[in-house]
Amino acid sequence: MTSPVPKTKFFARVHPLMVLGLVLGLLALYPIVFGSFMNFGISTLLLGGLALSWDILGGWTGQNSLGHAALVGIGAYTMTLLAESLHLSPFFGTIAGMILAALVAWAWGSLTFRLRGSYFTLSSIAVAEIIRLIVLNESWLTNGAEGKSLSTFDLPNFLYERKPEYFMVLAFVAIVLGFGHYLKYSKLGFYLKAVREDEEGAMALGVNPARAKLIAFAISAAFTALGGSLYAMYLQAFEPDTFLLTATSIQIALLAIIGGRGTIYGPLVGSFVLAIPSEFFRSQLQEANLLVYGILIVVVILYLPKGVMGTLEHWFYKKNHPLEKGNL
Amino acid sequence: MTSTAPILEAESVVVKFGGVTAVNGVSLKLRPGEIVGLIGPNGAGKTTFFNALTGFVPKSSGTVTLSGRNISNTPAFELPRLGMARTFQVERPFEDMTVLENVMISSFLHHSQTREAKRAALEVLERVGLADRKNQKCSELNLARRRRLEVGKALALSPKVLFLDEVIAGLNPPAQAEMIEFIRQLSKTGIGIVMVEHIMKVIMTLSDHVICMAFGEKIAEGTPIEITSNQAVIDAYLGGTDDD
Amino acid sequence: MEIVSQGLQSIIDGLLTGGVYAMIGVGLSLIFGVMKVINFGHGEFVILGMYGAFFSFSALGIDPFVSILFIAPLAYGLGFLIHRLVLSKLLGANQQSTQLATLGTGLIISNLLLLKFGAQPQSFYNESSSNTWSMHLGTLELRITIIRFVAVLLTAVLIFGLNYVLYRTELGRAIRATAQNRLGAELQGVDTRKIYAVVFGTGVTLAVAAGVLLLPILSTATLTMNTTFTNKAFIVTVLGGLGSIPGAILGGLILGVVESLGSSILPLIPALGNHFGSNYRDAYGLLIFLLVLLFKPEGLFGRTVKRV
Repeated sequence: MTSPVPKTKFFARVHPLMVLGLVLGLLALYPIVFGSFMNFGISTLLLGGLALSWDILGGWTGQNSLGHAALVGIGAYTMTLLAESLHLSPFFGTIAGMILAALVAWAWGSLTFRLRGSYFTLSSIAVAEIIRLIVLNESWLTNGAEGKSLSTFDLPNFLYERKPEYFMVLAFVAIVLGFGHYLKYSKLGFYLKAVREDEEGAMALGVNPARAKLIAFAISAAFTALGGSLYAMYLQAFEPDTFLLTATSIQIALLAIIGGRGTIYGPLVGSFVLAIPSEFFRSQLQEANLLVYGILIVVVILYLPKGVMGTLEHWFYKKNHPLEKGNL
Repeated sequence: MTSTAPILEAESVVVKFGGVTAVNGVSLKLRPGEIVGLIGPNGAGKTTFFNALTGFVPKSSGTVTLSGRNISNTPAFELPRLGMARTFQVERPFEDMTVLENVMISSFLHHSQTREAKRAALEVLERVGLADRKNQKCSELNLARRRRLEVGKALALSPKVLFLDEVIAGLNPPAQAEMIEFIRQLSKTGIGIVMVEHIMKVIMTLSDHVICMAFGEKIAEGTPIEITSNQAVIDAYLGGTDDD
Repeated sequence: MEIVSQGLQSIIDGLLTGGVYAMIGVGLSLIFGVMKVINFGHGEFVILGMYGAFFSFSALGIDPFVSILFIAPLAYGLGFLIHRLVLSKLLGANQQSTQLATLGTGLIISNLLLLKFGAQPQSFYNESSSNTWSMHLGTLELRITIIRFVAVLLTAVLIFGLNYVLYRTELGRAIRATAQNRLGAELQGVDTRKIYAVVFGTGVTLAVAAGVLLLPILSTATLTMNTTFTNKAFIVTVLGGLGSIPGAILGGLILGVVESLGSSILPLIPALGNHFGSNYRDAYGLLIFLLVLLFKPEGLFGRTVKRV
């Protein structure tokens, strides 16, 4: 990842927040320009937001979770169940879901972060599957395989319209992007970067690696749950398999990796890159929309190992620092 | 020059790996502003003892106290907050981060705000003479600068006790002289220093007190002059001192 | 008394299922043992086997126990090819990259199958599917499903064959050498790239063969079971120790029995009500999996795994 001060001569005058503002501004224009493709826009942005949330763990700590689907589900189900049973406003229901997800992640990470690399990934698949089975079987709580639907009693009417939904999702993306920026310049971000590079070396400098990673996981989980709640509002009806399948976890993770893990915009870019091809498969062929994911991840691994944004950043860095060791 | 109450005390530290006893009951006392040199032939257990004191290797028995507080079981990452810092023999800069960012990791210990941490880190960079390289990536530094960065990172933790692991060996003579003087100045500020070094000349010039280890045991202890004339020490080095 | 007879029947069923699980797991263990890489697409190859057998039966009228004879070599070719085309280019990269690539190829395979066969489960009917033998132990009658028993026998034959190759042939020696020390093997003249391709091909073959045998057992071919099979493979190999073939066999048997007992015995325990039964079947294995990962990640036969 690049250093806090924008380095390249070309971008030296451009403040990162200006870039963020520009990106968000452009995205805000989407409903005006492409008003008849709102579903496409919402789902692309939503997936991008989920990938961004995943990256707070995956990109920043190097722990690859293939179980984030469970957190999406926690967000969706918590908000819905609280709205239905306690008539709790979806706003508070979402917050509750975020808190629950963060707590689950804290416990989950505490147990499994000690596992190296792939073992952690395997354990994340298992934990998420168990959560899915619980949601599927405990029908008294979750209505099991029949799923839940949101009625007009649960949400104010305007939230069912596409344009407001789009802006809510945009706000979600803005929040996670904003947090990504904050992280880059904050103590936690520095600590995470150090831990990712050399855990023991970081410990010698007073960094508690376990705690840093847990905080990152909890935040990643909270944001993922936020996305989950929005997803539920968008779909209005869902069942366990809508959110909780391993396929969803894989989808989110691959978006982040293809787009460029550890970069601020990478996961979002990943969603944009995959949006049209996978939409094509979904609408024309009705299924197999993950085919493109499979093809692209192989392509990326072979030719663009840092992902789209990662490769771009690396390329820009080399252009501006041609005489450094390893660049010639 | 030094006050009398020890800031660091290690009592009969034993470290065993499986069936091997790498450190067999070694003790050490360090006073503020004092420099203790740790010498011994290869395999003597100096680095293991060093690692045991700094929390990177578990002790089988023995106690370590820092300012009176028992740190025998304190995890390594908590020790900087209590006033202990160390360098690594093979430097461990965060290669992908700049010099400034590396030191900032340390200064974040006492300064939670990024701006403050940056300011404090810049001060340290000035002290170790790396201010001009602050935005350079560590992978591009030469050995002397990597060493200074390693020391700088430890310094930025504002330690009361500093563990230096072979910071002089491998440097060319002018760089060595600089480093020696730097360490001397550090001890004058009241920091207690434990150094492992296999260049005898350096140890003798800098140390107030020397501990010699061989085969996991402390075989001699005393002032530099006493140590150089100690028969056990001479024997341990098999007939001569290392003179780089 | 009911618990005892149920229990014994359960154990038998579990062992029979476990035999097939073992075949799924052995392939994964072999790949990891030699290439040090977890094949995240393993379950997809099992599905490929199922659909291959289904297609052979529905379009060509060939029984799975026969079609396995030509599906297996095709599977080997596919695995070999995948390695040559994709994985061999990643031999210098880190483990994670290769694993992502296996995930990708798995996704491609399962999605291509989706395109061809659609998402609806396909059912397979074979008259002999539910035939059983009966055994009498005292007053207890225990049933052994013939198809499952045959599948386990075939599994045993395949694993025996694999063992023979590994320990009694030049190729096997080369494989073991590569697994232990790639550089050393190269210095002895072993073409380790080719060995890796062979090993991956073999692992894929075992997975596909397991799929073929599973079709008559499960009577349906479902594409959504890919993650389930991959998970089973993971559980089996971790239980036994990643990289250990006898471990995978034992792991498979244990998994089969755990699932079976969990599904049939737990409902009989009054204190638990009727809450836990076959509905949580997959969860029992997953729980054991997590426990092993957390407390004994090297499994039964594996070597010690580095922990943080």
